[in-house]
Amino acid sequence: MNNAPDLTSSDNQLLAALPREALALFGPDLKHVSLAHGIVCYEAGDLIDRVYFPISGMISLLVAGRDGEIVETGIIGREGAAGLQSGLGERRSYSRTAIQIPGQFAVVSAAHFERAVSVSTPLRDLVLHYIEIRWAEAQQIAACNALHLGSQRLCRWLLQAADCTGCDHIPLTQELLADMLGMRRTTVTLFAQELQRRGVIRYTRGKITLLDRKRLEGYACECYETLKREILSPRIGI
Amino acid sequence: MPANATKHSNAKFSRLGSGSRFALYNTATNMPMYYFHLSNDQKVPDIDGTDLADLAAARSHAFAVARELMSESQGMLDDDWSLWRMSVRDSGGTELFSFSFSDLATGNGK
Repeated sequence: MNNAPDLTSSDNQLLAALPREALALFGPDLKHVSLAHGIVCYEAGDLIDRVYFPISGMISLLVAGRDGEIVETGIIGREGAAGLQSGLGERRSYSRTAIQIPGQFAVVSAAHFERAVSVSTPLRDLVLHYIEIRWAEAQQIAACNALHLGSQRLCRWLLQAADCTGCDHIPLTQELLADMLGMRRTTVTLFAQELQRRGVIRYTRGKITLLDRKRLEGYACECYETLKREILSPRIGI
Repeated sequence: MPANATKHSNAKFSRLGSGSRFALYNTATNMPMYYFHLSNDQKVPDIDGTDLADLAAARSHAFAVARELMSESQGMLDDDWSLWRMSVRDSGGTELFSFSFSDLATGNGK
């Protein structure tokens, strides 16, 4: 629960896009917290009790199969928020929502958030617009998982993760990446090693650093560009 | 209302912080580690390794990975698969077995 010295709420692009008066509605109820990898914000079916605005970390939306296998259906970074739909009234989560990359998050209770949304048109516009964006993203990811090959999705994911956290150093393990992409751990390691050999990333156990974004984009599917366009610049109050 | 909400949120956060971290995947087993190195004229080492039950499991993992590499690679490793080999080693670096991807393509790896 420590306040980050050099990061502020405005490092989350949704919060930054809000007019000052709308932001003021949260007051001290908007808290900065540090959250570690693996913390579950809500399980599928849970009542959404908080809204999480990533500042430097990243949240994954995960759907678990009956045998425990996990597929990632969306990721949320500083361009977005998890649980925003609770601003429209009590909502349950459709997916397991968990901290994927640790970092700073601005968090407000769903009750406070709903109250603020009920009196602020810009905030309500933001919520509605963001729900639309997530809907578009879910369709893109569904298409991507069906259409694109593992190496393309790996590169897309790395670019997205770097954008989400605002940092080209991505703390993650082969297990995590393999689960997210639905490939075997060894396959992910070997793809990552090949990207390293080509000078595109640096790969050490537990960490990937992007060295050459342009070339990484060349190996990624077009979904990276599409998703980036869709989530760009939320239009507030228009 | 703020008093209530604050109390509630603190309680939830301490629970989050202390007890409810969720393992998104399994780590730490007692199974041996196997390393699946790739080579053609280049070497692509498996720096992470994978823990598997035994040699038979390592063998089927190796073939599955080779097939996955061939089917999931777009512009990355797919220049000419027939030139690639996979060497499977134990944690001491001793080669346990190796095979060429062209064997796999002809069905010998199945």
